[in-house]
Amino acid sequence: MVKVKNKKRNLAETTAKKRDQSKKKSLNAFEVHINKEKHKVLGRKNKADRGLPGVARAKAINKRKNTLLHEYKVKDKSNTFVDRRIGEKNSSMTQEDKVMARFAAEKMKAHKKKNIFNLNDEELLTHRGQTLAEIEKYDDPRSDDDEYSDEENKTGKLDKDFVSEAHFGGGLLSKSDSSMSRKDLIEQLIAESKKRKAEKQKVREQTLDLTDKLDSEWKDLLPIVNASKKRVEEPYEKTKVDDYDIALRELKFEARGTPSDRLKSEEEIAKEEKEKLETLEADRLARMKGSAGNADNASKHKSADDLDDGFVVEDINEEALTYGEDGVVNGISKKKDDENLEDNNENKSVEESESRESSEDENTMPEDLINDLAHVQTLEEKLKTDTELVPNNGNQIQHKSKDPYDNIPVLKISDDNEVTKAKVNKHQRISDDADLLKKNDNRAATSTKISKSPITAESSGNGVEDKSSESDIESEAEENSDDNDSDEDNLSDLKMDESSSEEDTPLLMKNVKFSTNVTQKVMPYSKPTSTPLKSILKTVNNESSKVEKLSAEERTALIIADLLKRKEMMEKAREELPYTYAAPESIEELQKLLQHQNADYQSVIVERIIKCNHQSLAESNKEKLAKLFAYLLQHVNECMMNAEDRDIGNSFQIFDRLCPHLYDLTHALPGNAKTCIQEIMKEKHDTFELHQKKYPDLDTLILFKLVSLLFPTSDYRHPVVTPAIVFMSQILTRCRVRSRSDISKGLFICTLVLEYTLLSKRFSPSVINFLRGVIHMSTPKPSVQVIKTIPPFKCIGELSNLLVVDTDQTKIKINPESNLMLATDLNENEIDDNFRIRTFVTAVNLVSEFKTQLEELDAAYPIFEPIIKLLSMNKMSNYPENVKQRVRCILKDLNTLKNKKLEYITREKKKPKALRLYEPRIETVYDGRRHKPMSKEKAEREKLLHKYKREVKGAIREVRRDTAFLAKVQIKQQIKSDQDRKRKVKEIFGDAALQQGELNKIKRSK
Amino acid sequence: MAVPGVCLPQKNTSRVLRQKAEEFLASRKYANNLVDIIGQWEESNTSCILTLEMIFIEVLKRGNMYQEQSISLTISGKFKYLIVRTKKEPSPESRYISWLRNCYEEVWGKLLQSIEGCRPAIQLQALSTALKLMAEEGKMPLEPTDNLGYYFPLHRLKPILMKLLSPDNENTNLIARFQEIAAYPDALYFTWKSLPALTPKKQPNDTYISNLLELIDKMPLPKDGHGEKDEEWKLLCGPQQEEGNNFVSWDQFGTRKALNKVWACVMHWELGVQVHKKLLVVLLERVIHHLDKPILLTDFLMDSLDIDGPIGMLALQGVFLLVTKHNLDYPNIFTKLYSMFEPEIFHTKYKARLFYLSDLFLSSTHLPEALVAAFAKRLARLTLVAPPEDILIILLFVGNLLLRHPGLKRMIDHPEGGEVKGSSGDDPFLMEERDPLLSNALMTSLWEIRALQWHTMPGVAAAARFIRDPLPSVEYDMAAALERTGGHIFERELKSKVKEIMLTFERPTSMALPKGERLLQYWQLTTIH
Repeated sequence: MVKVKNKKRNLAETTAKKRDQSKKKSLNAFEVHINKEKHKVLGRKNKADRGLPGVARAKAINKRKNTLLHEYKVKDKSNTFVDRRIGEKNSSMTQEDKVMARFAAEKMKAHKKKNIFNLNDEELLTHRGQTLAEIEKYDDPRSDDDEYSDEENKTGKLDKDFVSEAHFGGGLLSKSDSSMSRKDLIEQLIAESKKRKAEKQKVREQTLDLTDKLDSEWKDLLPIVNASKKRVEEPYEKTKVDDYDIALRELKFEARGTPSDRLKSEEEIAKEEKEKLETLEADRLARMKGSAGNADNASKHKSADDLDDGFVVEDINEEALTYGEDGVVNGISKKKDDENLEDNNENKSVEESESRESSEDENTMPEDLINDLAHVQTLEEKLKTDTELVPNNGNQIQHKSKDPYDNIPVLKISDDNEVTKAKVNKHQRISDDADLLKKNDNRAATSTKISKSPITAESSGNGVEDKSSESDIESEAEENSDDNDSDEDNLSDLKMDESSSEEDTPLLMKNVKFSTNVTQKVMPYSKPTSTPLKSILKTVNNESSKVEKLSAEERTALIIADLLKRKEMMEKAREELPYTYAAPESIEELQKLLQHQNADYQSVIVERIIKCNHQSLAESNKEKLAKLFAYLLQHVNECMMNAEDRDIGNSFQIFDRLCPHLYDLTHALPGNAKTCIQEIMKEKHDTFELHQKKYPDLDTLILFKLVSLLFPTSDYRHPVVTPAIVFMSQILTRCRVRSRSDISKGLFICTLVLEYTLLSKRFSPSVINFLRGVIHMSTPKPSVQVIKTIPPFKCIGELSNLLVVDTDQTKIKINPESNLMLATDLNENEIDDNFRIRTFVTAVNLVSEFKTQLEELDAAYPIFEPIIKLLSMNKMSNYPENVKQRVRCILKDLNTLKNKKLEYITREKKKPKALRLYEPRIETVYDGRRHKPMSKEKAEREKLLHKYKREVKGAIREVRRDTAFLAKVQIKQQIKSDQDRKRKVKEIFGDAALQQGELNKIKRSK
Repeated sequence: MAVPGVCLPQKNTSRVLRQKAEEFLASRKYANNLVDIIGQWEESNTSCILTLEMIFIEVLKRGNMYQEQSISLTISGKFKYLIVRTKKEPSPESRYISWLRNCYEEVWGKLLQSIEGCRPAIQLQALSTALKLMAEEGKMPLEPTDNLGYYFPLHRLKPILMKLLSPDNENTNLIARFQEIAAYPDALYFTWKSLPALTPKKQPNDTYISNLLELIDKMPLPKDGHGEKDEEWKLLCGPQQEEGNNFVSWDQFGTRKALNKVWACVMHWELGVQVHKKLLVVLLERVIHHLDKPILLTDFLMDSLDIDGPIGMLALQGVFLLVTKHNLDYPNIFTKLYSMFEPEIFHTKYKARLFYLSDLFLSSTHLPEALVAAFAKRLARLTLVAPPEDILIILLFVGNLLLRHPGLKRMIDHPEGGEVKGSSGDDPFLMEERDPLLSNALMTSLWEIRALQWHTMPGVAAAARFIRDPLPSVEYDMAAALERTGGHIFERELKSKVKEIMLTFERPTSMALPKGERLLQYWQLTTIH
């Protein structure tokens, strides 16, 4: 049924449509204009083959009527009338529809504003024109009661008697005195009523005025009343003051930070710091790779249209489009970051002990190093905060469960923390500026202590009974020194940790400086660490190697004594020296300042000069600092040049102390530092070129050390570092080796090159050659055979046997792991057996370091082959037993290189080249018209010009039609008004004629 | 030379001397001034020599010493003078002339003496004065000559040459000065002419040989068929007017003969190391093209070849010349060359020559691949011990070898890849093997060059990357690299411009690096207070 109905309806519709269409289609043939076609093209549909001029004209006229005519009508009228009534212009709406629509809109508007859950007040209830809500506020205290106190005045109308008399009094008849007429009576009545109203009004205004006056006066009185009240209350409140209340108030009224600059928590600060370091490290890695890395995996940019190898485009973009702050392409580094992040996550999940182990392995994996260190630090900080919150054993138990090794140290830490914290608190209360920084420092310092202690526990877990918490620096130092003796890996690791703790010490010391005598009490406990400790450690090592009988207690005592001494020294220096210094204007001035001071004093002086002349203080300070940097370099230079045998350690000490300041100055003015150092290096190189076979003096060598401190040595190419490396390799290849100082200097440079290339793992043939030469020198040669070596060294003759130990030295005490060359070696010329052995061991140690650095190279075995041969030839019969063992161990290590599997070099397979797909070449077809051959741009321009011309023509035509239309309108108006006039004139004439006719008729009738 | 302190008096004396000379030249009244000037020889050498030079050039120009001669049999001036004195009644005029000549001879004697043993500056001055006087004498002879128009004072040249070829001093500077007159064909010709007579048959000492070689090295010898009639050549001693010039035109044959004669003597001498080297250099660069029978050198070169180092290398070049130009057959030449590539070469002055030579030797594309591969591999091995500037040369060289011999591509792009087969997995190349063909070089890859990509020097590391990229279509140009020294690299690195100076980001508190400190691990530098 439904279907049928539908069908029916559809049918009806279609028929209706058809009817419409047929109606439209039936065009008058005369109305159609057919555009003639010159050539018929098959299959082309021409839209413009026929036109309906009539229809088109009507359309155009209609359009003009709606637009142009409208505009014409309102031409000189400034205000417009906009009809916003709904449906007013819509002709299809009936009047009823319009009304309905308007009503609906009104309702809608009312609805829209309403709260949908409010069912009650559909409409606002009003009273006297005010909404009830407004009235309920009682803003105006005047109530009706005041106004209408008496009955009769309540309504403000005439009183009852009067009205009853006047209206209903029985009329005139009942009244005796009818002297007044009714009219008078009514008038009297009106006047009466008016008068009463006016009176009422007046009274009301008066009361209002009085109320206002009273209000204002009351307000004036108010404070006095309040004050008296308070005075009564005050003593009462005073007794009530309580810590809790104060705290509460403080909390309540504390200035609240806006969300944007919220204080960062320690974790966040640490994290930021870590991230910063990570990005810097990533940058460094990128620079280390130089263009090599880029060339490796980033192919050149290709456009998207390029079809050569379309399938890799996305990959490249992802990497190539990341840029660092300095515009360096960061693609690789970013990747690295990701990896780091991953590492981090892993680390977090892994036990702490493991992360420590990994940090031990860091020597070989510099990328992860910083990451792990930072990670360890954060962990430790976390730990620290924990201990702060709950300074009892609960936390430690937790750690115990984590790591058995941590057990002891953590115990110690907590104790230590409590002690230091107490001190710190005291300190804080006394010192006025108890800032957060200080706390941080202390915390950091303790945290580094934490980082140290596990190792000590690890290594000496078996034999350390020292669990007391007296003052753990002593025990630590002791343990450390033990470590140094026993195990080298731990030594290096320890160094790492120490270096991390070094960063904190100066800050700590700064704090100490500001405080008063209390800090001096604190001092022995608030361990100054690292730098002094380190150097002391070394001496201890050295001494211990020589004088092993020195008992542990004595050693610790020595350390403490040294530490205290140093501390006092610094303190004394700080107190004794004046606080401000002018920047020196010449090198002489600087030298006058520094001349007779020891290293620590010099350091303090320089520090103060820098502080007094900080860049931010004055514009000219930049220049002063630049000069200061140059002078300091010169000062160091001269110290080194003048260094005699006795003095040499002192010179190094001075350099040691000045390093941080040089670093600061470099960071303040990098460009200046670069040019300064470059110039000095050039000067040194020039003097070296003059005496090519002679080893340069210490001042040159120390410059290399300085370079490694100030500039990143791992960069692929660096304006300062690369020349330094070139220079060093030149020294090593050219200079003749004849004396103790020559050998020492050579080894010094070798060590420096090792330091330079530690991160980048670069290969420097000259160093290997030099080490080979030194080992060659210390190898006793068989008389028949000549063992070859590389030229600065001699294959035969006395110089080739300089380092051979002839006499039996097996009794000599030398520790092959911690063997240290001495500063004095750099100056002396005589060679003794002790030196021979030390040199040999150092050379072999260096070889092993270089081996770990270069073992990944394919050609590693050929590189070390001659050294291996020399070492295996050496019987070492005169060397001490431990040295022998050490060398054999290293030799064994070197021999593993031989077993390395070599793979043939192959080039990367190139991707098959895709066929080039060209765009179809479209040729213009001859179409009868002659096309001028022209360039693409010109053709484009021509096309545009043509189009423009046509448009202009069309526009002109339109304008013409517009004017015609307007003219037509005007003429129509004119005609219409003329016709009106004529009609009116005719009418008037007609009227006049009629009148005249009538007049004539009257005249005639007369 | 004038030391600043004595400058003033010397200036004074030179002024006095000049004044005296002018007086002397102005009038005969002051004839004795000449004696005074000569008398001051010892005190102020340079100015005295200069003054005398001025005087005698003027005198020669004026022809004041010229003597009409009835007896023309005499050869030397001195004899003539004696004869003249005995034969004729000396007029005052002739007495003056003879006195003047006497002085002239005395000055010559002193000049020659000065050339021999004085301070270098005076030596040079004396030599140049002698040369000038000789030239002047050639233009204005003291006596009428039989050869009208041209006269060369051979008797002056010979003593000069003898002084130059002194067996006592190395006269490099003097010979360099003497070289100036070698631009004049007549002087050159007569020098060559007189050389054979000055070359002793028996063994002279090394200094003499070295001087002689230096002289031969400096005296140019025009190529055959060239320079015979060169219009632009000016004569040292030719008379001023051109038409009278009938100097026997350049005698190429004669000169060559003289050279051959000299060399025949030289070949028989025994030589020290330095002189041997020098001799080979001179031989190769100057002499060998002019020898009549270079084949005769074979024995000499073969002996030299057995000496290690630069001598062997130079000899090798000679042998190579003989092989290529004179049909000598010497099959071991490549083995010899191969054995020269030892680490020591980087410290010799001749390494550039060696590289140049071996580039030349191996330029043929028809050499066996195994041989060239051995060279490439050995060179690559050497880069592991070479200084950076040499590594750059070697890399270019190896690159060229790879270019010339496409078969060597397997050393940088092995067709199969994979691990090296063999017992130990070690590099199959035999560094100790003397024969390049047996060194297994084709079975290895150039791992050394890959290792160089990690060289500390960025330039080297970049250059070593060539094995990764497709080889270029033209050979690398080694010439520029051969000239480079370590100093250049240093300076270039200093000049390299960067936008930003990178700094370390961890503040040290002492000499020690915040991380990765190594120096203080091995060195105890500071003392404790």
